[in-house]
Amino acid sequence: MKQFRKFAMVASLLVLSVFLVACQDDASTSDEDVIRIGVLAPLTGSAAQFGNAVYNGIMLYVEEFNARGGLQIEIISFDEEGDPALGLTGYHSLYDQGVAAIIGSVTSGVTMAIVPEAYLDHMPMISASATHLGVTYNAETGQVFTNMFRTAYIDPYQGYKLANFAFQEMGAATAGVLFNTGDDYSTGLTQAFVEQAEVLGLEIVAIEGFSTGAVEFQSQLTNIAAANPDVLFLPVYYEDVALIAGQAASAGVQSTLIGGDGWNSVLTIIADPSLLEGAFYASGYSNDYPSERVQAFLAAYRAKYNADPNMFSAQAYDAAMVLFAALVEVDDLGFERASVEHRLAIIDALAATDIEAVTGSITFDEFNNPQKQLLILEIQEGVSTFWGPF
Amino acid sequence: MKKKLTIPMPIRYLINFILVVLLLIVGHLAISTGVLNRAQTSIVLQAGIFMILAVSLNVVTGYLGQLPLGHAGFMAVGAYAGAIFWRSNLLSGHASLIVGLIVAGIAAGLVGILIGVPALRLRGDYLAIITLGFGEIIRVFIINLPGITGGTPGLRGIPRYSNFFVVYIGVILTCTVIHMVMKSRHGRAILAIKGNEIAAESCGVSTTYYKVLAFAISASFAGVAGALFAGNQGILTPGSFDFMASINILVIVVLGGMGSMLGSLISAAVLTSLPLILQQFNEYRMIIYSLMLIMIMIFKPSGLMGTYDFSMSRLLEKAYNRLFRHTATEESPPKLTFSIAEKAVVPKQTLGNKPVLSCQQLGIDFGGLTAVDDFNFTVYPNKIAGLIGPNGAGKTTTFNLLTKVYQPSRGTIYLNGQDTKHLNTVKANKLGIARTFQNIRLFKELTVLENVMIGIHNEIDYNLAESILRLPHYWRDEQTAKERSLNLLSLFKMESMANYKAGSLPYGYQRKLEIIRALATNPSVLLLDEPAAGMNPSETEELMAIIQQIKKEFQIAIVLIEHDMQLVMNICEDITVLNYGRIIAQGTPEEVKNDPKVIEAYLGKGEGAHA
Amino acid sequence: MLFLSQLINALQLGSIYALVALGYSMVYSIIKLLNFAHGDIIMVGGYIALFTLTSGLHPVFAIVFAIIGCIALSMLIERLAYRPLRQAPRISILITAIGISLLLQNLAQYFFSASGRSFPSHLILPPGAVSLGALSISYITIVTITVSVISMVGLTFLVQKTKLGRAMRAVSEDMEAASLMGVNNNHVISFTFAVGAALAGIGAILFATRYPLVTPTMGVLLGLKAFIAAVLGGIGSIPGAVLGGFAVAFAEVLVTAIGLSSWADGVVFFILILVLLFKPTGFMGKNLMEKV
Repeated sequence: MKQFRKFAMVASLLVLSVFLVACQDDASTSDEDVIRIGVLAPLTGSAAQFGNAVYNGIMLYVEEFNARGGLQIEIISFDEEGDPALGLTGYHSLYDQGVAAIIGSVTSGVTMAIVPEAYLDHMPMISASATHLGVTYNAETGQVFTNMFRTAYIDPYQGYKLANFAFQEMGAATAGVLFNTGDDYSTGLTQAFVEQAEVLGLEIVAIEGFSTGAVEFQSQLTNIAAANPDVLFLPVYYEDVALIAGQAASAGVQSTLIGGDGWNSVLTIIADPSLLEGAFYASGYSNDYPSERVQAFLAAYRAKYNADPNMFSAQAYDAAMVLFAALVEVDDLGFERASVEHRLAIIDALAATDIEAVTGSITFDEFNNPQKQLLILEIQEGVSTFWGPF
Repeated sequence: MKKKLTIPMPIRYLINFILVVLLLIVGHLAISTGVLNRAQTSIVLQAGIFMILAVSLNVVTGYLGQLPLGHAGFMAVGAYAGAIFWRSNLLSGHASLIVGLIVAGIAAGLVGILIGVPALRLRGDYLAIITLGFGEIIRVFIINLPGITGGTPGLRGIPRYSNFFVVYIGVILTCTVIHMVMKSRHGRAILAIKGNEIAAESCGVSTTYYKVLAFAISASFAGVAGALFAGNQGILTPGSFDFMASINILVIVVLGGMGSMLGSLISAAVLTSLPLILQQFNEYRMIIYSLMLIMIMIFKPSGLMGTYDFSMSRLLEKAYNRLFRHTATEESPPKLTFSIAEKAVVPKQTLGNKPVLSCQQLGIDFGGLTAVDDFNFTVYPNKIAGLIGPNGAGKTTTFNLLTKVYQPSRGTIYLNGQDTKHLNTVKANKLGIARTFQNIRLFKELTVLENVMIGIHNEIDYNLAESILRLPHYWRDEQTAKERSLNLLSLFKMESMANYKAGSLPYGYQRKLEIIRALATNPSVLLLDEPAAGMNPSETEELMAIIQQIKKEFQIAIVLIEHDMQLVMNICEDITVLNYGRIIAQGTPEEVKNDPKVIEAYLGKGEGAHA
Repeated sequence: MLFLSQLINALQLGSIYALVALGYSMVYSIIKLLNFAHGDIIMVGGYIALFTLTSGLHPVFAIVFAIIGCIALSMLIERLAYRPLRQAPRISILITAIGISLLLQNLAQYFFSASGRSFPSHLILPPGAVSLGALSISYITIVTITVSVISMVGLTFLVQKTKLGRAMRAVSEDMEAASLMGVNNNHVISFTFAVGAALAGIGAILFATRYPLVTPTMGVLLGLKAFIAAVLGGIGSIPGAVLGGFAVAFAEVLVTAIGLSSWADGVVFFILILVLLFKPTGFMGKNLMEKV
């Protein structure tokens, strides 16, 4: 009897879980004027801060767009927790729910897991922050994932540009690098920077790594201080930058610090901004950029979220803008929504994008990467000031 | 009373096979007709992969009773090995898929052995730490060998082989192979090690070999799962195999119930589908998940399923018996399925009159303390010798020396004429020495019959492949082992308890079972460590009869440690008295009883109330 | 000079590891539990200190509150989660500890978000360094080393010379016998957790001052490293924990100093494995033999 009860419990559990899975609503008939768009982002987990910034940016634009009347957008989001396997499930779930296109995902790892599948479905995708070269292009096979677009710079481009910037604009002759060996963004920028430095004749005198989650950089910085490069390239995220900057000072590093767009928001979490005085970093966006679009976006964002946007929010806002413009463009062609023809038309419209967005004017090259200038910010007297495009 | 239905083995296999095929067809139809949408299909695939991971980890945690924290490391080895093989395009199509999975399994299995051999020398927490370390080292290697593994950005363009059919077959094969291994002498050995390592060794089970075996099996299936994981995602990044990944697999096993394959399967399915089911509540999911883990550990530490395992045939039997045959209650004593030979099996060796055990100047020191010294002792076949002395005299230590649980600091031990200097407990047992323990060391979770069958472990010799494929050798040996065990049990009138859990027996029977288990190893010397401890006079009486019966039936030498002087004086032909680790008297019961040194050792200090 | 600077780096890192490792060791020695949640208690201490400082209270309160908060939390966890499992198999209690660790991290992530917050470390200790010729040692390094040494000495005194310490040793030796001798096991175990947690609280302050960023996962890697340190030194041994802390730090710094920083974690684990294989109880651990 006891065993039977156990069995009954198991059976009912199984039935329940099957039922619950089955309850996931499938593509239901939608209103005439509503298009479903999927958002795939890590809203929880270790990449949640990026995922939430992206999500906020998207939702701000969705609100504005829907307020204008006409075509309406319904957002269906899926939290993939930064896990490629869950990302795939999320992609399929969004597909099942009949989305016409997807904004996402946030990290390169998850996006790269999804893209080959989405490519076969002709699913239009646009990411605001996946920067790895391989997101839109498989270098090994030479295949371009024509359905995948992004509003972020690719890692090699940033690394390449920053090496140029250090050499040409800062007049550096020697450089050091401290990077996160366990992060694809960091390794991608490092690789491109080192390659371009070699081309330029910018000597790399120290290259040091650390692993994800590390907080102690003193011994790497001691090595770097001993090599005393003109610039120290830190292709890492802002939390790491905040810690490294403090320790660099005490290790006696004299070099000027430079970094990529991962530095965005660094000033919000560094206790002593003077540690970063004189540092340069690249960004796809700056709150200080004296353009009307940026200031309008900044105001709207502050009004909605009561906080300052970062680059991820801005690029996500732009991704939504680019995608929705394409949706509007193909809307009167009369395709059944979320059909293959509709999706192919969206992809074509996206490829032909030429739009003035918050982070600059966006057109896509043959690899669907944005043709944008790099914005350089300089930290002066504790604030990021706009140095100019490069 | 009508006979209860029992389904014979071949039909059981057939039933399972039919079930497997049915489920495959149902699953395939559900996916191809779109009853399961793509997200659900993708969850089914992932659940399948995690089922393999959980079932394979369960071999080490549930069955072997160890706690490794680096299972994701093995998964990573298999994933990268399989993916690299597939990408190399050495073969194409199905051949590539199958060979790739085998490569993944072998690679992970080899790494498992490589890690297992040193790691399994440690136990418990230390094993947990060392496997955690290995798991992290594997990841550091993956990150730092970008030429081979793609490094941090990952390895991409992996062919997506993992469809429903492939994953399903993977799950079934994993479960089948592990089930076949566990229901064989190999599996019994693994369970025995979990029950009690020292007892397992004293029964001739090589704990090192079987621990490494379990580890290798576990690792290689994790490797296969890894390759399927690679074939599902099409991209591999080292981040997928961090410490958290190992913990996730462990949580699946723990939640399902350590030792229950069914539990692992269910819990893998449920936990994998949670992120999809609870997508709206994802903010709280991890909080609920960790709370649930803590709650289950506190309120139901054995997990949801405990060690229960599902068998369709058993269910059918039960349903049939309940519906059509009103037999006695379920708890009726199990019946013997074959007859007992009139005479119990006699040990194979004829012992003659040479001493079976003799030791000279045996001694051992612990640190500065000499526990036993200058111990000279000889026993002949068909004799009962007693080893007595006050508490702490070194009696059990002597047994530990004789069975090589401790390595002597000096002196020699000859067993059946052979020097045991370089032997361990297992080899000493194989040479003909068996023992019981002062504090009973049965395999409590196993049945009475299984306990005895572990004693027969080395007498049957079918190998791993024969047990997995269920070749005739397996059936023959198992049948022999079962018959012989039941014979032994019947000799001590315990055959009706064959299917009870050993831990559920009354105390006196546990003592008896331990003796039977020792006898099952076919010893020429049997060491009994306080067999009468905790027994009442009538039980002691019975024990005395049993010991004498053993002597009569088996003609072996018996050495007895006992405080019950009446017992010792009655049945021992030769008595050795120890005090402070040294022999103070040796001789017949009469001689010893009157020796002034013995009287002083016992009575002079007012010890030993019944001396 | 480079060598000397690296040596000081190792000393500073080692003293933090040692301080945290002491907490692991204390708890392990008494109930044989690898308290996986120890690193996360430090994280909670970090947040408490952060909120106290940002609310404008005097920095002394931050230190006091962090320590008290860690102690309270730790004792609560012991009472609610570990005590019911005292008779359970070791694996259950270990998994519970992992569960607690996950719970604390995820609660922190839920309430404080995943992004880090800057810790106003200058309020605790002004930045700056003592210069010895070309060599400069920051204040925090000096303070960390000093506090660690004091903690170790104090702890040794507590365990060796006080009545409570004697009770702790008795409980760790044989819980049943100790209770027969009139030692209240529950009190002693609670007290041990409290001591370990106080060390975690101090560790949290020092850690956040040195690395002025508080995140929900800040305790994970620190906990893991300190845990390795404790095992390496011989878990359960006070001098062992300290020795282990320095050993791990020296290994990391050495590997980094010779330019193999990306292998540093691997090397640390490799050393751990080697030591465990040749001396399974660590540098200073007691050898235990199973009674047969």
